[in-house]
Amino acid sequence: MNAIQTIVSGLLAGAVYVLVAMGFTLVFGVMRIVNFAHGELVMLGMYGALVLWTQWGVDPLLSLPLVALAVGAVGALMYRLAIRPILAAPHFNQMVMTFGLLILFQSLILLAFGGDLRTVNVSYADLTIIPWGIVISIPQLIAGIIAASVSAATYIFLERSTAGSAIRACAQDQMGYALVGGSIERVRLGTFALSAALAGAAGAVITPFSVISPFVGIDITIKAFLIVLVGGLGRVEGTLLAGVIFGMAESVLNRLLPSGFATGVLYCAVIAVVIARPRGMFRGSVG
Amino acid sequence: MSPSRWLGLGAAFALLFAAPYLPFRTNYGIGLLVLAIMYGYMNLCWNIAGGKAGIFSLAHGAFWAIGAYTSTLAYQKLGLTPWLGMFLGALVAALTAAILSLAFRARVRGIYFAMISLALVFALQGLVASSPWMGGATGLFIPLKQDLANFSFVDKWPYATVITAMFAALVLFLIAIKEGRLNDAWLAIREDENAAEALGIPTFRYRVIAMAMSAGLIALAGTFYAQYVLFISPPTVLGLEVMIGMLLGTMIGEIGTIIGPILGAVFFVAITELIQAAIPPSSSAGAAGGLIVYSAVLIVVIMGAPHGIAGLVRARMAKVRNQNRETTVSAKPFDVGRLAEALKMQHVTDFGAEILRVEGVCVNYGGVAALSNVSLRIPRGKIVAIIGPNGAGKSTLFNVLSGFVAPHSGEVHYSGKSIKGIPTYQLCRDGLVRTFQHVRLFSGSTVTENLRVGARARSKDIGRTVDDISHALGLQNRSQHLASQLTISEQKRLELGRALATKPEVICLDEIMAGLDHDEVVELSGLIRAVNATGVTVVLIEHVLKAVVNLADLVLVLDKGVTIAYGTPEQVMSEKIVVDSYLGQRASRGMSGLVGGGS
Repeated sequence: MNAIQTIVSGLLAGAVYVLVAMGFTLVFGVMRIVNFAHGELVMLGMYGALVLWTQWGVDPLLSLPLVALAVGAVGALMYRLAIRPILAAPHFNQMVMTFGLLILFQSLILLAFGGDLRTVNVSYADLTIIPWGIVISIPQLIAGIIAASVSAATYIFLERSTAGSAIRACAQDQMGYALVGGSIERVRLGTFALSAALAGAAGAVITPFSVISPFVGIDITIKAFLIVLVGGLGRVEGTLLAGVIFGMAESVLNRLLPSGFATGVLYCAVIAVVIARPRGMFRGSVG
Repeated sequence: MSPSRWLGLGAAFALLFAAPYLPFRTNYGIGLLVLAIMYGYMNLCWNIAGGKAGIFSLAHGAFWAIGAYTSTLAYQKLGLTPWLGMFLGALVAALTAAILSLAFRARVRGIYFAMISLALVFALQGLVASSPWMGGATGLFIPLKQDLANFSFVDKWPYATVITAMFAALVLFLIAIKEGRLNDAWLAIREDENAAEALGIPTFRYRVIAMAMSAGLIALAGTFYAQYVLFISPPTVLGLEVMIGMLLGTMIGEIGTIIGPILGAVFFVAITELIQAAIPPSSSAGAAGGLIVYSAVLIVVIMGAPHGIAGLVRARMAKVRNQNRETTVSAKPFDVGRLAEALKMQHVTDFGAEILRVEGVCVNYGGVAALSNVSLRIPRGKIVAIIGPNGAGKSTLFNVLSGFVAPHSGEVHYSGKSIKGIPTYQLCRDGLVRTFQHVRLFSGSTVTENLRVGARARSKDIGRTVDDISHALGLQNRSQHLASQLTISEQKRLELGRALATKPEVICLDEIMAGLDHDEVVELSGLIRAVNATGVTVVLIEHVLKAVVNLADLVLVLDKGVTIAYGTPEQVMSEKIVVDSYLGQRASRGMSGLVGGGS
């Protein structure tokens, strides 16, 4: 029973990871930018949900669309003011810029809310269901389901809609997309906003069972990195699979080892995977 | 460096050494000095990998922490004095860096490497925090006492002297290697990895050296820090702040230079102090305010001065200098005499013997046959041209010859040995060199530096070879210009010169005539003949048919990956199939004239 329990909670966590990592990989795919501030957008989502909860008692799950929209707007602004000017700069400059944004977001929230740990105490926080003896926390179950649905919707959007195919086209060949008359600029802006909105949604959805602090972002960014690396940068399908695998591996390791040790082992394993398959686990080896 | 510069450097070091003993010293001042010098030292270490070799490592904060932890644990568990423990730490850090560098073998580069190096930091963080014998999440304390033998002092001034000595040693070391083999190899790798490999540089090895060396050096500073603050813990030494500090410091100064990272460290400490003086850091609002200023400075610098402050000043100075300088320094004519001087080969006598043999080579790209069953024998001392329409497989054949592409079947023999499994850099060191269709110079380096990279492959007297080649190619008055400042035809000359500087026995030139006007083609043809006259075997890919006919001893015609004809220009041109498939029907009438013009 323990094994199934571990797999189920891993799956639920994995669904949220996928949501975060998907936005991350989209931005990389279209702009070749590694956004170190991506986790900060998740953090903003958490604070957005927190404010709506404490001020007006809006449940984080209900405020999710609004939070996603607001963080999406922050993302659009961030793109216009900070990312667009350095699109042509060397990778190193881009990396340092997003590092700078990471610190900026962190410190702005620190200034506004202080450094204390916060929680949102929803009435259903401690509820569980126990089908066939497997204990599942209700908020985590809801988070997993919502995250999976939003990820699926995004995936369908990318595959089926015109805007989605524009994003995929840009990720493959920007020049080609411009040649057939597309506006790269609009696609970039849209991608960044979408990526931020997904991060915001992830933030809202995990608020009921997470500790909220200005410093949670970097850890989230790292996990998104690792998932995206394992899945192959800029590859949405790979990210989906890798997110779920990562969530499950983490859950299993956390059960077997002390938590810090589990993290260490997991990250080292990811490094080994990347060295062995640098273009992602699910792509053929590099030619 | 000029004597006046050495004098200035000596004075600066003397001042740094003397500062903690000056009458108006304060403990606060010495503290700032120690921090600034330590950050300067660390920035310089990171800069070896990040700036010189172009490796985006985010793990150097962790290598620094490995130094701190290793020496502290060795002292507490084994009683090893930190004076020795610091070298043990350097060893552990260098080994860790070398293992991480295995990623280069898997062709992990750029941002990918940045990310896995960051993963290493977080892995270590987790492992240390959950290992009680390493102090766990609370960290390790080092007792405060006066104990010279164990690197422990009550006053701050001895620390200042130690870190200044480390710093001075590092700066002198970096100056010493500035024009050496290591530095040249790193610059070449940073600018263009493939070109570096083709010029005889084992890029993997030099990347590992850059990582291991910078990790080991920075670990020494880690031990220093542990002994200085007497407390280490996962958040204080394994946090991202250390790494961010190094990135920002280097960024604010200027990446890749010696002075930039040092200036950046001074700037960094100054900003931090100003912020702390303005806003008390005790409150979270105070800390946040400081961080906001900090990130704002960073963002402004990246947008306004992408090459840092030192870079900005340098660009200004260069602009003024260029205005004063004669703006149209044109390249000189070729000097064939100097060429013979540079390339002369005493040991080679077997002219006419087979030097390159291609045997039934097939290359497929995803089901498309780029080369099918191509065979070719090239005698030493000849000029061989490979012609054919676009997509004929010419460049693929070159890639096979130079070891960039391994054939799916068939073999290439060079000097009687199969080149299978021999890395590209080794082929270059064995005397087989190539140029690239699109010029691939080290554009951020000077003409001399470009030539020097080539000369290091095989030449005994590197300075001499560089001088000979730059005269031979008429680039002597451009020697201090950056490759990116040259005209297109000069860039082509430099690319050729860089390959010639390797003193090759066989040189493969990929469409070297493309884009040149008639006079330039004639001039270059003369040069290639001169190269050939020294005994160098020349293999050319060309579209300029006339040049090939006049130049080549042997011509290979490829079409769709298949050999159509191979022989002397006269033989080849008389084959009907060549005329039909490559030259087209109409060309056949003018052919006799063309061939007749050959030598």
